[in-house]
Amino acid sequence: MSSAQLAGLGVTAICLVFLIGLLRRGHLRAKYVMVWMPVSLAMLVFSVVPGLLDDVSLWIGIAYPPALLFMLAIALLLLICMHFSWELSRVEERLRLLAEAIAIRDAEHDRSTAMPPHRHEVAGLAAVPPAGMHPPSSTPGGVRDGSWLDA
Amino acid sequence: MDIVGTPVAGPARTLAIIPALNERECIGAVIEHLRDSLPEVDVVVVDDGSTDDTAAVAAAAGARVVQLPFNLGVGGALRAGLKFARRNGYTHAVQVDADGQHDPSHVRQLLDALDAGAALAVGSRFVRDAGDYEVGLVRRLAMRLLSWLVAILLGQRIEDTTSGFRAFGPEAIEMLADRYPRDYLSDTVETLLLVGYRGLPIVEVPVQMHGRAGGLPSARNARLAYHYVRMVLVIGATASLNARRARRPGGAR
Repeated sequence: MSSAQLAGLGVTAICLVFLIGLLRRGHLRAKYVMVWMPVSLAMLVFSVVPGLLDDVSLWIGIAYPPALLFMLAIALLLLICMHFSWELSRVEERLRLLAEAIAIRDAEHDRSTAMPPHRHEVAGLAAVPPAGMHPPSSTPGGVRDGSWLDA
Repeated sequence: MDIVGTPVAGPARTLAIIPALNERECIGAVIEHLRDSLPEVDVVVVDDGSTDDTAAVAAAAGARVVQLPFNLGVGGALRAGLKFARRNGYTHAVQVDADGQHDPSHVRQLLDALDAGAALAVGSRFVRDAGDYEVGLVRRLAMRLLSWLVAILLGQRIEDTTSGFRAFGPEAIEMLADRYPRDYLSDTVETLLLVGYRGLPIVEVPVQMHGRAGGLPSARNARLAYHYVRMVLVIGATASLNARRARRPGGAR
């Protein structure tokens, strides 16, 4: 095995061990490990099988084999990013539902008390900490924790 | 919003957890049947984001209702139910299907198994009924392989690894209220491993189920294949010999 192949194998092995480790410790959901597995496995295959990259490039008609690698990597990463966008969308909608549920429940429970809970202490939860070192905003309208892309 | 409870202690109280998604037709009857057969068991219906009035029907039939704001799946509903159990001082819990497939008389048997020392009692259809053979050969073999894997790791043969008819003792509730797996197949198979790896005893109780053969629901092939591969990955990554060590005489946890 050439040193390049060994290096590729080594890096891939580290990636896989890392992924499995995260799964074991519950830091990554199995779903996401399965998303990243194809990347690691593709790397593994190409680093272990000598000349595979060259042969496939030739067959497709790509003159510069590393370009195939980049193309595959970019395509996979694009797909993964798109998947994440989809997941984020789902999560944001569910967060909205949760926020509504808590707020409405508070309102219905607190009909008896005179004062609604302090804005920063909804249902016993601390306010979302603002990014950076700025003091919490005192503007009416609640916590603003970032993206003008949201609203 | 304290959802982290303290370990359950005190006199034995049992909670029946019924995860339900749009089951307004059957849920009333199931609850009544359960309350008639087992008056000392409280019933909570976990409404898993139903779009119909399942929650209202359940409440009218005398059950407590935990209404999830969106669908989490059976695993998600079960964890919510177990958190509810822990938080409200229940020492034992039993999972019952909302569609009436699980006979309340068998609930008694599951609970007896818990009293006899099991941490997890699984209601199994040891006798394969006709419905199972409608399922394709590939699927059957694949599930058989999964069961075999589980048997190797636990040092114990479990016939019905995907049974959703289970009863949980105090230690199981304590752990699973935090860790109950959410994904399809994991909620049944991985739970067995989680309990077994802790060294907690699992007991299988033969039961019969009504209606459609449970165990292998008619999931779309793609969905089952994906979760199957995921399950094998998870089982491989989290494999442990703890269960086998605990089963050896003198073996510690």
